[in-house]
Amino acid sequence: MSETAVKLIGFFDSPFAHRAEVALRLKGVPYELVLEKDLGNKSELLLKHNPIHKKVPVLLHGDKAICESLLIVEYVDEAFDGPPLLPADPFDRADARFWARFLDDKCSTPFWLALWTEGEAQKGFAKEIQESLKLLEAQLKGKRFFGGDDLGFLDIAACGFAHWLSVFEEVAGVTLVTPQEFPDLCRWGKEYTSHEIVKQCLPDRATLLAHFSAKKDYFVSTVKSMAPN
Amino acid sequence: MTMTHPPGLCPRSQALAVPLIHRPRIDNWSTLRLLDQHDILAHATLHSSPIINQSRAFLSSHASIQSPPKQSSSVARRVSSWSSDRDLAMAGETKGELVLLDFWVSPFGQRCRIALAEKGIAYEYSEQELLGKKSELLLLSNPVHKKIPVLLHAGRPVKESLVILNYLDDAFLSSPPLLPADPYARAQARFWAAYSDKVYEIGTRLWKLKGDAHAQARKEMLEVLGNLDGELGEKAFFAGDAFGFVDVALVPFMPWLPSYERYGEFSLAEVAPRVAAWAARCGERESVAKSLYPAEKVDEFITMLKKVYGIE
Repeated sequence: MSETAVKLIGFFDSPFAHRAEVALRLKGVPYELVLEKDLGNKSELLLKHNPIHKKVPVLLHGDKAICESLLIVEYVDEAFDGPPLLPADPFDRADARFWARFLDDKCSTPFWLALWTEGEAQKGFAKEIQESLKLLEAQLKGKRFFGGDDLGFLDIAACGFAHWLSVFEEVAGVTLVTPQEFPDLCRWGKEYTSHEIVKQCLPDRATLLAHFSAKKDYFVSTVKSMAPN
Repeated sequence: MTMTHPPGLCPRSQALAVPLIHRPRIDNWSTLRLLDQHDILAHATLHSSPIINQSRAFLSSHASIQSPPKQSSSVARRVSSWSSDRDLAMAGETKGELVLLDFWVSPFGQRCRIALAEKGIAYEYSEQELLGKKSELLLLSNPVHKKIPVLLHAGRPVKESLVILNYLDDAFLSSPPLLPADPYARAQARFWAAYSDKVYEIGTRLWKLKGDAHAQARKEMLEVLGNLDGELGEKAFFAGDAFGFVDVALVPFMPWLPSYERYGEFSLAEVAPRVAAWAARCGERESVAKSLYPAEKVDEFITMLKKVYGIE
């Protein structure tokens, strides 16, 4: 199975695509990166292999297509040799999966709303995401990474809060996380982004900043249809 | 944290955007969150007590009709001063004891009950009070979400139904696995099991919302059921010949379908005929038959929830 070609369909600004890349690199799996040019006009390849959600990333392993970034990470962990991404102990595995789901299911929306809304509503969402991030931070328990001495599943899942968070804060003019209030999380963020393997597939910060700044009006518009009046 | 996707921020679901538009004006921003799993009942505490009493009466009268799974009264008695992980560990008497914190009609809890039955694993069932005050055990076990199901294994809590299902396969290696062995087949199973959550999420919107939001929910429900039907195809079960992970994840929503059909004005047999046949097939399995309640009971429960929420 490891001889078959591996392709990853991604998009340069996506932390979800980054999760998949980090997993492949940590396992030492060679892959071809296929970048979507414009997610407003998706490629045939993407639509063919992810007809349900039509989203990046999609992993193509031979004729198999695997969608959903966290599922891709688990698949890479199980299909290829190399250092394990998930812990060995069943309870620790359950914990890692729980917190990864917490990030995607509970943090994404309040985070987004805290960036682009205003006034009392914004304060409420900011408080919510900060409380959630406090819970996440507590999972570090003084370790270098969520996974212990080296990166694991939850570190990969939380990558957005290591690299993308400050870019979004800058574009939105909002501060959600400070080193004073989140010392462990900020320390972890630096450890994560300076990891020798992660660095190879992190999008350039300045490019992200320019790209998101150009899309600010669009981001604000996405939220207007969601937040209450 | 999607950046370039249209409204529908969580990569899992575009559906999140819709309910927020149509909620009534609420001062407390925290109630804007989409209710999933059994958050629904937590919010009942905001409402007046006569409704809660009526709901409790419904539940207790129901419990006596159905002969619920064995109560974990010994666990309940030990809830005297829960203050730490050590106390929580004491909840599992001997190493390896399993306790499932659950709520009778919860499809997420039923996923766990069916999985445990299929795997032949003994456990204690502990019915949780979700209307009114939650037990200290539940709050200690799942402080983040305060929701069931929670599986306590020698006192250590495992939370989220699909995480529990994965855990049962990881921790009980000599029991029949829910997931297939092949990594690709496992990825597919996890994908479709997570996708099946949409049935409940969209179904909830069907009975709660009106107007455009309701129409949108109906459209999404038909799409989701159609996709599930396509994925099942001509197979007996989602993974092929054997009842497994996706079947366990999806089947608890089947008693809710008749209510969704009524609220959504559609027919499962028309929209997803293979799923309809599969549901009947699954219903013949002992683990499923013993874990699920009839559609009529589920419908009564929805009606009760509507009263709690003041929905017409």
